[in-house]
Amino acid sequence: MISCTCVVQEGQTPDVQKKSITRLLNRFSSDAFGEEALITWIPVAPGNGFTAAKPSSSSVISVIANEPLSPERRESLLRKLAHLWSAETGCTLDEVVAVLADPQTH
Amino acid sequence: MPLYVCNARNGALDSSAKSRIAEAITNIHCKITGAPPSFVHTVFFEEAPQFPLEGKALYVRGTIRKGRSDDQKKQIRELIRDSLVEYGGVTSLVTEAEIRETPAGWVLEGGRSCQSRVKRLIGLRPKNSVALRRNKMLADEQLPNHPSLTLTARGLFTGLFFLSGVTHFTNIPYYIGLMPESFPFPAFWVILSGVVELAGASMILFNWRPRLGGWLLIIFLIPVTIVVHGYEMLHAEDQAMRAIQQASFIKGFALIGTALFFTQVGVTPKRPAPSV
Repeated sequence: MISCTCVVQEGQTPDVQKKSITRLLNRFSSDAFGEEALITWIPVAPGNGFTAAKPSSSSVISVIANEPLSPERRESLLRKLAHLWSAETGCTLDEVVAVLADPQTH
Repeated sequence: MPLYVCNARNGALDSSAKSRIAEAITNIHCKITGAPPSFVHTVFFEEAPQFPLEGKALYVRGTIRKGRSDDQKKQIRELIRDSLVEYGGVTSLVTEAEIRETPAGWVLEGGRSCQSRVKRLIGLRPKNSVALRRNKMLADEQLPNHPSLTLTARGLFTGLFFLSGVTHFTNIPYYIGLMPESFPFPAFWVILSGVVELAGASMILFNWRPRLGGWLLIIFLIPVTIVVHGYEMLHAEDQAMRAIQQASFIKGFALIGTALFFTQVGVTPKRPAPSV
């Protein structure tokens, strides 16, 4: 399983949307790494998330790959991940922080 | 990035303290690294198992991009601990701050790779075309090879427009003669086109908003190529003149292509990109 941690602002991602995001992340993970994603949701309670010291609407999606990635492949996958998230949640790309780490380093 | 996660004992921080700590962390990171505040994220949890408190009341884990100096990391850590003491109302004995690093290339934020931002900062050319599109301009002084050649190229490309632009003012009847007779206010269009091509060429040569300069030249070249040379290519009475106009017509499109290239690649940013 591919570890995928989603730090989201509580209330910003309804449960219905979480289901569809889970489906999309699983598809992304299967296509990219041949394994499904093990998704951990970490909700940030209202008033507990800040960007630039102001209330945040950002999400952090952190994926750990199962093999070291070339810079080109990593960037391509990061773009897919960020666009997938943005398209599904309706947030802008400025509100998405996507991280794609190599295995055993995170 | 960076992402600072603060884990606290239940009820250790009220909303005001969180806000002040977030502001302090943002200021500390920006002051030490030069990063813009919009990249600094701070989140608070209470006794979250992923970030063990291990007997402390407040714990901060900062994940920043790899490449900061040890001294910078030490300063960030110490100043954050001071801010936890000041705004969290606890002693330094029960606070902990830790800094971890993530390679910039592993992170995409705002639709852009943090690696490309770092490359822009240190003046390296991005390796692929996607990164090249994101890179606003290529600085003469940052180009790896023969920066003088880029100036020469600009001079060669714009020389034609300077010569032609000046003669738009000194030989107006000639240019009016090139225009289709049905065209209204020919003198006005001759002068306007001279202004546009001189402005565009100057902007590219002197590297002041060169992308806009490229667009100005395109605005000049499209009607000139199609209306003037295209028309004359088809309607000139003399066969030799038609051949000349045909050559100008083809060259016009080559120049449009070059100007279009300038709109995309440009010349140089005057200010370095912000650190992240």
